[in-house]
Formats: sequence, C-alpha cells, structure tokens
Amino acid sequence: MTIGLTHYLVLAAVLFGIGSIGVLVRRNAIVVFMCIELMLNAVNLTFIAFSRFRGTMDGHVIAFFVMAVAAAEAAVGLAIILHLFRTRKSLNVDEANLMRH
Amino acid sequence: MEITFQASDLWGILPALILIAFASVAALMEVFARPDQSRGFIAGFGAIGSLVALAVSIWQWTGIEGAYQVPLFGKMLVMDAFSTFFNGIFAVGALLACLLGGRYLREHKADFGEYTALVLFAAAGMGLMVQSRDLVVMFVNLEIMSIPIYVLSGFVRKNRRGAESALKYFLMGSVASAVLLYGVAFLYGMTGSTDLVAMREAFDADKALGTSLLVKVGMVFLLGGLAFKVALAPFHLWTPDVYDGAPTPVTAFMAAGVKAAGFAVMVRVFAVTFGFDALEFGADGKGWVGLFYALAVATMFAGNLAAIPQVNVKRMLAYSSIAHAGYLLVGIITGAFGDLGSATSAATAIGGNSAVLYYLLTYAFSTFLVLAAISLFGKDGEEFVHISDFAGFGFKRPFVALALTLGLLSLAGIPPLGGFFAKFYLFREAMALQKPEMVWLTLLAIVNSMIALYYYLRVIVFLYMKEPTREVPAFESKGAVAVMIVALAAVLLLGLFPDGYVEMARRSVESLALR
Amino acid sequence: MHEQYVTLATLAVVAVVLGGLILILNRILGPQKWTKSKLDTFETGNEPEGDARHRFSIRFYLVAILFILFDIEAVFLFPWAVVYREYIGAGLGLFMFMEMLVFVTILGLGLAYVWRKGALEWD
Repeated sequence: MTIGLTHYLVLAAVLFGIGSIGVLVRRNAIVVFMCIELMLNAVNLTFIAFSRFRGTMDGHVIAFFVMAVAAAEAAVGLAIILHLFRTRKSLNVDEANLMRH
Repeated sequence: MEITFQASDLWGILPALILIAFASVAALMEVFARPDQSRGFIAGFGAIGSLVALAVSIWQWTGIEGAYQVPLFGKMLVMDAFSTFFNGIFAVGALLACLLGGRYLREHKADFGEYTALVLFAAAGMGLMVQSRDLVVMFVNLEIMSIPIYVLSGFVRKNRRGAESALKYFLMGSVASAVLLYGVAFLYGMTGSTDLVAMREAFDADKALGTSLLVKVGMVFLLGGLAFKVALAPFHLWTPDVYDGAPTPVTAFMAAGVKAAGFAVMVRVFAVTFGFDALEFGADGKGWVGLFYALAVATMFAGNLAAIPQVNVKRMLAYSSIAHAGYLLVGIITGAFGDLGSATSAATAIGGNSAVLYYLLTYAFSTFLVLAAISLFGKDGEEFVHISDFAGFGFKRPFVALALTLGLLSLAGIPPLGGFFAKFYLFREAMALQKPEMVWLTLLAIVNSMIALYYYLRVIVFLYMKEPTREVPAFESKGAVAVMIVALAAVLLLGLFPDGYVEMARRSVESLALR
Repeated sequence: MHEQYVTLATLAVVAVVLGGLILILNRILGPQKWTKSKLDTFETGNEPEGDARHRFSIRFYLVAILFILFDIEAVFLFPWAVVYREYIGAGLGLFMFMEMLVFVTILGLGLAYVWRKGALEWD
C-alpha cells in the first residue's frame, strides 16, 4: 500500500473537522482562534496534496499566500482579543453578550 | 520563462492603486501629525483620494466599448465594464464613509486617522476582489477587504459593544474565509486550476466532472463562505450584532460595500463558471436550483420576520439588510438560469444579473442615506438608536428627518424612489423566465416587501407623530449633510431616470461573457 | 504489498515491550531516594526562578503581533532570492528587483507607521 492523494485529503479533512468542532465547542477566544488556524492549515495541506497530485506548482504558491493571510488575520485577531480582554477581563466568548436582549 | 506582466496592466488596477496610496499616506499622516490636532483633515484627504479613484473609474468606463475584458497580470485579474462599475460604487462608498466619519469620530472621542486608512484599504480590497479572475487572488482580496473592516467595527474604543462586535465579526469571518478556501481547494483539485475561465472549460470538456462529490462539496463550501459575507440565512446570525455594535458610518460602509463586493463575486462566479447549465447536480442542475431557492426563501423570511419586533433601529436595519440579500439572491438565481456564452439564454443571464447590479447600486445609496441620518444621534461612544429616541425629531431637524424618511421609503420600495425601481426591475426579470417556481419565488419576495413596509413605516411614525420621552444628543455635521445630499440625489435619480443606469448595469454584465 | 508494514509492526512491538520492561524493572529494582534538588524543575542547569505560570507583560503580545507580521514576509523574500539568479540570466534582473523593491517599500511604510506610533517603545 502506498500513501496516495486520498490519505492526505482524509488527513486534511480530519484536521479541518477538528478545527470546526473546536470553533463550535470551545469558549476561550484564543482557543477558538487556534482552531481557525488549524482549519486554514488543513486547507494548505489540501492545496499541497492536490498540487503534488497534479504535478503543478500552483498549490505550493497558494499555500504561501494563505500563510501570509493567516498571519495578518492572527495579528488583527490577537489585537481585537486583547482589546476585549482589557475591557472585559475575560476571554470567554459566551460572556460577550452585551447585545443579547 | 514567460513573464506576463506589462506596465499597461497597472492601468487596469489604477483605482485600487490610488486608494492604497492614499491609505498609506493617511496612516503616515496620522503618526506624523501633532497629537493634539483634529484628524478631520485626514478624513478630508481620504475623501479626495476616493474622488480621484472615482474619477479614474469613470475615465476607464468611458474608454470601454461594447463587451470587453482585459486580462491583467497573467489572467489573475481582469478589467472589464463589470469591475469598473463596482470600482465606482466602492469609490463612492469610501467617499461617503470618509465624509461621515470625520465628525462622528470626534463626537465619540475616537478621532484617529487610521479610520480613513482602513476605509480606503478595504475599498481597494473590494475593488480588486471584483476584478479577480482567479479564486485564490479573490480570496486574498477578500481578506484585504475583511481585515480592515474587522478593525473598523471595533473602532470606537469607548463603546464596549464595538469590541464585542469586532470579536464576533472577526471569529465568524475567519471561519467563513477558511470554509471558502477549503471549497476553492477542492475545486482546484478537481479542475486543476483556480482560474474561473479555465475551470469553466474543464467543466465543459468533461460533463461528469460537475457531478463528482468533491466538486459539489467544493461548491457548497465556496457558496457558504460567500453567503456569510453577504449575510444569507442560515449564515446571517452575526449580522445584527455586528451592524449594531459597529460605529454607524462603518455599518453603512459594510452594508453598502461588503454586500456589493460579495454579490459581485457571486455574479462573476455563477455567471462565468457555475451557471446551472455548467454543473449538473442532480438531474438538469435541479439540485442547485433547489438549494438556491431554499436559501433565498429562508433569507427573506429570516430577515423580515426578525426585523418586525426590533426596537433598536440599527438592529432593525441589519435584519432588513438580510432581507435585501434575499431579494438579491432572486436576481442571482434568475441570472444563473441563463448562460452568457450561449445565443439563446444570454438575455436571461444579462437581465437577472444586471437587476442585481442595479439593486446593489440603489441599496448602497439608500443605506447611506438612512445611516447618515442615524449617525448623528449619539455622543462619547454611546449611540442613541432606540426607536423612541427618534420621537418628535421630524420637526426639530427637518432636513435630517426628511433624508431618513426618504431613505427608509427607498429601502421599502416606494415609488418614485430608487428602491422601487430596483425591486420592480428585479422582479420583472424573475417573472420573465416564465417558470412556475420563479413566479412563486417572486410572489414570496413581494409578500416580504409588504411585511417590510411595516417596520420601515414605524420609524417614520415615531419621527413625525410621537412625543419625545427624553433628551437625545444629536450633533450637527456638515459631512453628514453632504452625504445625505449626495445619497438623496442618487436615490431620486435612480428612481426617476433609471434608463441610463440600467444600461450601465447591462453593459457591465455583458462584459462578463467568456473570451 | 503489506510486507513492509510487518517489519514496522515488529519494530513497534519490540520497542514498546522493551521500553516498558526497562521502566518496570527500574521501578522494582532501583533505589528511590528523592531529594529537593532531584525534584526541582530542570532549567538547563540554572537555579529555577519563580513560577513558570506567571503573567507576562502585555507589551510582549504587542511585540509578538508585530513580529508575526514582519516575520511572515520572509516567506515571500526567500523564494524570490532562490530564483533571482535565473531571472538575471533571462534578462529580467532589474524588473524582478523593482518588484521586490515595491514589496519592501510597502513593508517599510508599515514599519515607519509602527515606529512613529510608538509601538516599538518598551515604556
């Protein structure tokens, strides 16, 4: 048995699934954010697996761009989380409920 | 080694380049200006930048003849009438947001030049997103648009709801981006390209490809990501909190700009690549149609029914914006029945999609009109947007109240305002298909428009017929008045003399045809 | 087809059994005298200082955020540097250099903003 495209796709799908479940069940904003990063990396893996499978370089280049975008998102996200923590002294996303009337 | 870059490609993205240049300078102006100086001049600078970008877009438009498309940067981006049309809308959106922001931020003690920089960056991202022909470039530009808006929605630091709205928008928006990208990854894997035209060629060459599982999953994910950005049910739950918590000028910019950009990408994706003909999901592409019907009906009802009990006017407008997304989806469905490349059904595609463009144009101006008036209510990080806060206001500030009234009536679709003609055009194109299910969908949309009348009119009743219960701070702002005059003129023009603008929308959609 | 996995599985079994056996024997046979210095946290031979879970200054986060942003740009610089020689050979050296110059200029603008904003000051 050789490791083929399917294995990578399944691995990526599992990672993506773990990430999305984490987003849904975890309550700490930082952990939610880490789960989102996990999802993005699962996407990267998918791109690179397909790229290898098709014998083109496109997927590799795309992965670089996704990494850059993820970094920009991380910077802004952490800043927003820090700002919320300063006003709220909590990172629990369930406690961000000022607008629930 | 082949380099497909020419200096002339820069001309194609000139509006975005101008916006980025002005945004960078605005950010530097903020840090090099004296700390005690008012930042109004930076907002003015941003407004000039938007005007220049608008002028360039108009200039590009006049150079466009017939259906034409210029690929730029090795087919990563294109310049066509469609993108130029939207570049114009985004430049106007940035202009109005800058005009509205200056005074508002001073009143709310958040007078920072970064506002201007972020608005311009987001507008540049929107423009490039619509110009993208490659789905990955589209994704990168989606982020260039989204990231500034995450920040902008929490811009007023004194407002605790702002921080919350920023966090919610950021977390959910990032999930949506990841989902969208995962969809793109699958489509790339199955077709071997992220270029929309190449993807379409792959689908045409191999009919079985459209029915494969990964393509279906990829399409659903791509659609899900876009549906989040334009707030289609069931991906709309963030909208009320974010629209309510964000500073009002930002809310207007989001409602006008992000929604237009999201729908523009949907038009490009569904008109160019994934029309119902190209993808066979179930028999005759019926599965896709069913999915879209469900989305449209769910979105219209979710928006309108939730808007009725709202007493917070900004929340009400957020739900109403969801309902408008539902009407717009009716246009997308109509357009997706046709195929721009075919001789028989091109008219359908052009009709449905150009109705979407016209609707987005009027919706942008109507929202700016309403939210410019509402942005005046508030002070020091607190916005007064409870419906009773507007009581008796109609006689205190007649012009502002008139602008608010006309804006709401335009959103409701009352003749002779722009909103009426946009709805009329959209529904007429949907009916022209002569499919029983489209007739039903249109009837549901009309019923929904009538429901919507109730909550729009209720605000007007409070404006003119109720006694005020408490003293509400409302500041004067020349910028907001300018925004209201521009938006009012546009809404009236779009309602009274629609022909020229309809022609513009049609030419824009025609330019999408494959070449 | 699966033969290579037999070797792998054998190795895994042997590793687990042997490792477990040694640990168990050590537990049963070895002398156990715990002293304070044996139980202390190992910090590369230095005296451990304070609790590892103390709070960091918020400034670290700001620096970390800025670091991520400027650090990730190396991702784009590196491939460019790798293929730059080929571009010179193709007569596109100046063009590619200008491309990178634009990129670095935009980064420079960002740095100027951050610097003037005072985000790089420690206090």
